[in-house]
This record gives sequence, C-alpha cells and structure tokens, in this order.
Amino acid sequence: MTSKIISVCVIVFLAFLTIIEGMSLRGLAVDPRCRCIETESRRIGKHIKSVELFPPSPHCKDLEIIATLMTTGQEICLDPSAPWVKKIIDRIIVNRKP
Amino acid sequence: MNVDSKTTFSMKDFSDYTDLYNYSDYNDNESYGAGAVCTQDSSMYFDSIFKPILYSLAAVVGLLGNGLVLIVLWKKRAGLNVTDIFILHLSLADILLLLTLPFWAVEAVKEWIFGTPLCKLTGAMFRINFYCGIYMLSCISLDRYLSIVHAVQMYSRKKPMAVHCCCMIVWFFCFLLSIPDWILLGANKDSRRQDRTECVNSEALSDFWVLVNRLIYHFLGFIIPAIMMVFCYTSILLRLLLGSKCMQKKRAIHVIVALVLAFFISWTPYNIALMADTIHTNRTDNNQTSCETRTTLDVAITATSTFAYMHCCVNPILYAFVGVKFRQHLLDMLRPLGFKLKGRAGLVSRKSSGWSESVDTSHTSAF
Repeated sequence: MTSKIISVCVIVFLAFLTIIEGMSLRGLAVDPRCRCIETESRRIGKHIKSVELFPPSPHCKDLEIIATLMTTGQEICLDPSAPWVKKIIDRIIVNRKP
Repeated sequence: MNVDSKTTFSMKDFSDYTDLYNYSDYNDNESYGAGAVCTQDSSMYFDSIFKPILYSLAAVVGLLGNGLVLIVLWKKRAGLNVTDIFILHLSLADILLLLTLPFWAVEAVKEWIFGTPLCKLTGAMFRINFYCGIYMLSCISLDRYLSIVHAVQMYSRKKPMAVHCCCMIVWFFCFLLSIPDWILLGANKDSRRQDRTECVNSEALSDFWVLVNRLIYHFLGFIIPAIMMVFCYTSILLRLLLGSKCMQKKRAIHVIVALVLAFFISWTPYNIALMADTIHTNRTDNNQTSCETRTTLDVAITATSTFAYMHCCVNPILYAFVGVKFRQHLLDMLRPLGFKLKGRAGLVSRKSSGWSESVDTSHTSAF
C-alpha cells in the first residue's frame, strides 16, 4: 500500500516535470550571451566616433548600444537607460526613416 | 525603443546636436573603466575547429558500432530477450542522434545553411534521441535489477511486444520533450555572432526561463537516470558479492562498474560546466565577471557536451559487445563471410550453483 502511494507520487512528479520541460524552451545548445557585461552611463559624446545598435536576438534579450571611440578605436557599451544615450537612439531612429 | 535590426551610425550625423557632441564628463586622457564589450569570436573560433573534428569522429565510430549492433540483433530478432530489445532501441536512438552531429558541425564551421524546416527536424531529433538514449540505459539497469535482485520477470520471453510497448512509451515521453523545438526553432541570423545564421530559437529566453530550463535538464537528463543506475547496479553488485566467487561473477562485476563509470565520466563534466555557467550568468556582482570567464565557460560547455556525446559511441561496447551470447551471434554472422573461428571462443565454462541461479532468473545478454 505504501509502496503504491510512493509509486503514484513519483509518476505524477515525473509527469509534472515533463510538462514543465515541454513548456520551457530549448536548453541543450543556446546560452544567453550578451556582449555588454557592464555599461557606461556618463556622458562621453564628444569622444564617440560611431554608434551601433544591437536589437534583441536569439542569444541576448537586451538592446545593446556599442560606441567606438575616436582616439583609441576602443569599443564601449553605453547604458540604454541614460538620458543622453536615449537622445542618440531617438536621433538614429529618426534618421532611419525615409 | 523601436529597434529591430543592427544599426550603425557615425557621430558626424550628429554634428548639429551640439549639446550631445561637445559635452563630455571626461577629459581626453581619462580612461574608460566601464562598458567593456565582450566579443564571442574566440569561443566561436574554438567551436569551428573542435566540433567538426570530434563530431566527425563520433559519427563514424558511433555509427559503425551501433549499426553493427542493429544488424546482429535484427538477425536474431526471433529470439530477442528483454535486454536485447532495450539495447536495440538504445542503438537506434544513438544512431539517430549521431546522424544530427554533421549538421551541427557544418553550422559551427560556416553557418546553418539547411533552412528552417531541416533546423526544426534536426533539433527535435537531437533532443528526442538525447533523452531517449539516457532513458533506455535506465530501463536496462531497472530490468537487470528486477531480474537479478528480485527475480521478477517484468516481461516473459513469449511477450516481446510488451517490452516494445514500454520502449514506445519512452519514445513518446521524449517526443513530448521535443515539441517546443518543432514550434520555436528556426534559422535565425544574429548580428552579435558575426552575422551568422544559426539554428536557434527565434528569441532569447528570459533569465527565469533559462534557469528553469537548466534545472529541468539537470534533473530529467542527469540526476534521475543517475540515481536509477546507481541504485540498480549497486543492488546488483551487493547481490553478486554474496555467495561464492567465480570468474563469471568477477567479470560481471567489472562490467557493471564500467557501465556506471562510463555514464558518470561522460555526463558529470557537462552538468558541472552548465551549473558553473548558470551561476555565473545569474551573478549580480558585475565586478566579479569578465570576458575571459565568459569565453572559458563557452569553451568548457562545448568541450564537455561533445565529450558527453561520445557516450553514444561506447554504448555498443558496454552493453552489447561484452555479452558472450552477442559475440557468438556476431561470429556466427561473420563466419559465412570467410572469418575463421579461432580457438574455442564459444566455449562457456561450467557454472557454479550460485551463478546458475542468477542465470536462470536473468535474461540479460551482457553477463
């Protein structure tokens, strides 16, 4: 009797796990891999040569903004929530419209 | 922010934006400490070298071994016992998984060039057979446990269909796990990864779902099978250690230890790498993280996952070729092809009374 109850509980638990796994997404290969580990929020507009916007993609759910600096050519991640960065984004979006 | 594709702009476009252009919180000589950009180029380069070589090796060796098992078992299909049927399904699962490896190898070297429908098929086939192979191992260990320790005949020789039905249940269970792949997988271009098209989900997962998915994998794909195998084979070992010792028993013990070690050596490193990656990804202390750590984890996951797939290649050796009966059938099959039987390979030494008891109650072909 006890063993039967245990068996039923185990089966239900496995079925529950199966449903959850079925509901979740593929996990064997794709790992989250954004390029920006940290972001710069202080204003450095004067030193920027160009800006690249990366939309959310299979490997990264975030919008990433990467600036290339004039003097060194170094790439740096900008903080999407910083007001001055938002201005850049808005300007870029406007410029893209035909 | 409505941004749907990678966009590049030169700051010359903002020359009329004097407030933005001229202001700076820095002087020209100050260094920029924050905002480091991680490239994935080195880990992708590692993938493009490592995966083709190892995947090709695994595919060739594994297909040969598992194919041979299928041929031998097919030839004796009228007299298959319980374990033979499980091994048959195990080999089938391994073959189907190994057949997907060349596609992933091409993806790692170049990009996914096979289109979305084949992406869905390959991804789903991989997952179905990935789990199916692991659960067939668990079924084999359970069958041996019931036969040897409890002398319980789950299935009779005369009812092989019951065993096939059990295998079909496992296949169906694994098919359910692959449904998201059928729905979500596609050939998608990612501007963060050298603008390559890859066979991945269309959108990135939220952190919550990544974590849930990882935990479910660890549990369903490793912990449950591991517990089953350890419990079953430990019980079998304890039973075998009782009573008189003989060569047959020692050999059986060695085989069991090899089976368990092979499983853990194959899968533990991969699970550890995944756990380390999960912990690292969820760490909020940004000062602790670095691009080098990211790259190291990427390489570790690629290496350990490939090593895990090698388990498909050793399964034929551990589960089929160790069986005396299996080798007899193999030799019987090869003899018409001109191979001469050397010595007395088919001779079986006299069994002790203790061993006879195990043999009488067991239909396993590996001992």
